[in-house]
Amino acid sequence: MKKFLTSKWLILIVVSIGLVVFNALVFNVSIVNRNIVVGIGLDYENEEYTLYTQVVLPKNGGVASGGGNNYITLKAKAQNIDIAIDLIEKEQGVILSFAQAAILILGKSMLENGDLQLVDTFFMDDRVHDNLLVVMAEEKAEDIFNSNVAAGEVSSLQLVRQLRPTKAPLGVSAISMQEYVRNSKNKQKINYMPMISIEKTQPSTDQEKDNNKEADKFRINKTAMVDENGLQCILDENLTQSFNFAKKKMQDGVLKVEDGKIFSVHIISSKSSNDYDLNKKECKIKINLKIIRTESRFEDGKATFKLSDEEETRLVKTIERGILNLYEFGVQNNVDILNIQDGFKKKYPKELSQIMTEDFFKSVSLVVEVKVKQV
Amino acid sequence: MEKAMKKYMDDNVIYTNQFAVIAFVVMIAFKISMLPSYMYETVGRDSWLIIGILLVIEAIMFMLTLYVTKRINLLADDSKWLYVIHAIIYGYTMIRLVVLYSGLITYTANSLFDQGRIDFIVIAFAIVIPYIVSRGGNTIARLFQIIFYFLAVILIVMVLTPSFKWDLSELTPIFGTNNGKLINGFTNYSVWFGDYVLLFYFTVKPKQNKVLNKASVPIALVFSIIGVVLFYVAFIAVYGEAGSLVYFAFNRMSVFNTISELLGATNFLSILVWMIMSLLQIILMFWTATNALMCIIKSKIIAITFNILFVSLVEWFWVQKLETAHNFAIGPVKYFILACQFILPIALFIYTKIRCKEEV
Repeated sequence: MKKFLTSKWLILIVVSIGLVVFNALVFNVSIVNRNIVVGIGLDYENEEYTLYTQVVLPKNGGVASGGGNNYITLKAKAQNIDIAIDLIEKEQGVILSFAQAAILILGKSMLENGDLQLVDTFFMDDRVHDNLLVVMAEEKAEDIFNSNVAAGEVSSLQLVRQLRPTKAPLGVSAISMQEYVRNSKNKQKINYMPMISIEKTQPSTDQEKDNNKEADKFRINKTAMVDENGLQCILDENLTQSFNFAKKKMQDGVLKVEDGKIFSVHIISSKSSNDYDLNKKECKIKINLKIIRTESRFEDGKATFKLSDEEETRLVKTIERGILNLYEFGVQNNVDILNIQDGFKKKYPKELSQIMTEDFFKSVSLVVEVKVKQV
Repeated sequence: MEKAMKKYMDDNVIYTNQFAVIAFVVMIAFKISMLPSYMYETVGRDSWLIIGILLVIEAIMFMLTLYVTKRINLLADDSKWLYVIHAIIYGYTMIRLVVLYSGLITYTANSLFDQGRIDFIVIAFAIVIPYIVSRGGNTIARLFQIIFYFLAVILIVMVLTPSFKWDLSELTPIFGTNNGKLINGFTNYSVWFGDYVLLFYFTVKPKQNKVLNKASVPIALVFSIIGVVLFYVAFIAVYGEAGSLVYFAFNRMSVFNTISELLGATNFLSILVWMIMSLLQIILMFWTATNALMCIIKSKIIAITFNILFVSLVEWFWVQKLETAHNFAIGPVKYFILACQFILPIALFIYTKIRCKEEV
């Protein structure tokens, strides 16, 4: 007996029982009482926030019996997000699980008048994925959740698919919550997010066609520019493309070059870097492009995917002009879209008195240098 | 009883490569969890440089510790002067234990459960830790060694599948602004440093392969310095000024890999890695505190029981929140810890020199 009481086996038994018992006592919630959130929305109206959570409703039998899933949107109005989450959870008798949330949709009024620091609530919640996409709805976030998506898909997941497609169009300037919050904490930096519009379209499934049901589709080709004071301006499709060239690293997309005989190029990669010279008050944006012509053309009786010299010059001019137009658009709207002031501030931290003036970015001359490599 | 005590004292002999593995793990574990956020709050974007400098100092101290542990066995040495050293080591380790243990408990409560209850987690650890501590130093070293390969594989997988959206301009300007606060970066977070003190109760026995034996500790130290500094660089480039809002840096950073993108917010690989590393370090701290107290009161069972009860009750009733532990760590105790981090290795180095001369 004494031997048993001092043996390691007794300790192991006590440890095992202890761990099992304590695990049972820990607050664990059954899957039945959980709502898995796939999309989150925020609107602002009459000094109140409306939180939308699009959640999965598992069907009896689940996928194994061919059941598939349904989705519903739960909403609550409150002064802040924590209270809204609490309201939804109490009304539904569930716990909201945000780990699978893939998108945060901010209504226009939220961006114009709401407190954008509320987004930090999601960022600081360890359960929310940092890769959550942040977008702006052209009108209300609610419209997006209520839309009848053509492909028969739930709206938030359809949006994620369009924002992170296998073949990204140049007009999509997707941003994750991690990037959004990082940029938002830098007061000199302008933030961006794609703007989502809804368009009516023909339904894509036979059943919906039979029911004469009209379907919605999302258009994502504009970009909202946001700072700490809220929405500043909206970039159209062309300006969004130029913004992506100037500020983002791209690995896909097709650019159409007009101005004469139309041709298009497939962008294999696009990288930009900025150089700042305070003496010359000059900001140089260098863009390195790797491209291939989307369609072959004939040269000396042979088919080739290479651009002619004239086409390459037109491609370079198109990109240069686009970025200069973007800068001009920013100057007109008093928005430093290219974050020129922040760039100078980082390079010349001892010259802040000269750089941190209100119109500094407007007085800078912008030089765009595009290098094209054909593969 | 005396026989058991003697066996326990002899059970602290480890090989140099085990010393290297322990040094590698403890240099990393708590520096990549809450510290990046605290550091960023204090010194901003230069925190990667400050941590680099502090780690180089720590690495030098590790080498000093290796010198000492190769020559003397603190557990078996009954010199009266050592009572003072044991008392200082005990105070030093208990203060660090209270702060760092709260990190492990909070992390477990937040990452494994929806609303994990701290009291139950404290009790669960309070059963496991004393058992491992009671097995002695070379059991702990062996545990480090076995788990190291597992950790290395997971870390390599995580490093090879990154999908960062970082902005390296967040690292500039270097020493541009906030320079007045740089000194606070060196002093405020002393509780998160000085892990070499935890290794003083080991006795290091060289292995036969001399070249590898000599190189293992410097290699481990260099790898951990590079690893931690690169982690801070990535952390600042990914989160920028939002870095101070990120409490469990390693957990959050590990989300940015292709595996996690498919699975959602919880990256079990990172949870596993950090929990194992931090639990090992906490066990090592308990073992050090137990040894220090045991050398004074000459009873292993009382030392283990008192330490686990004391720390568990402090965590249960007083610390509760991470903020309490943080505020305690950056209070006046930081100066005591900072002083100990320099006084202890230097004092033991001098003591070792004297002992070696006496033996000759």
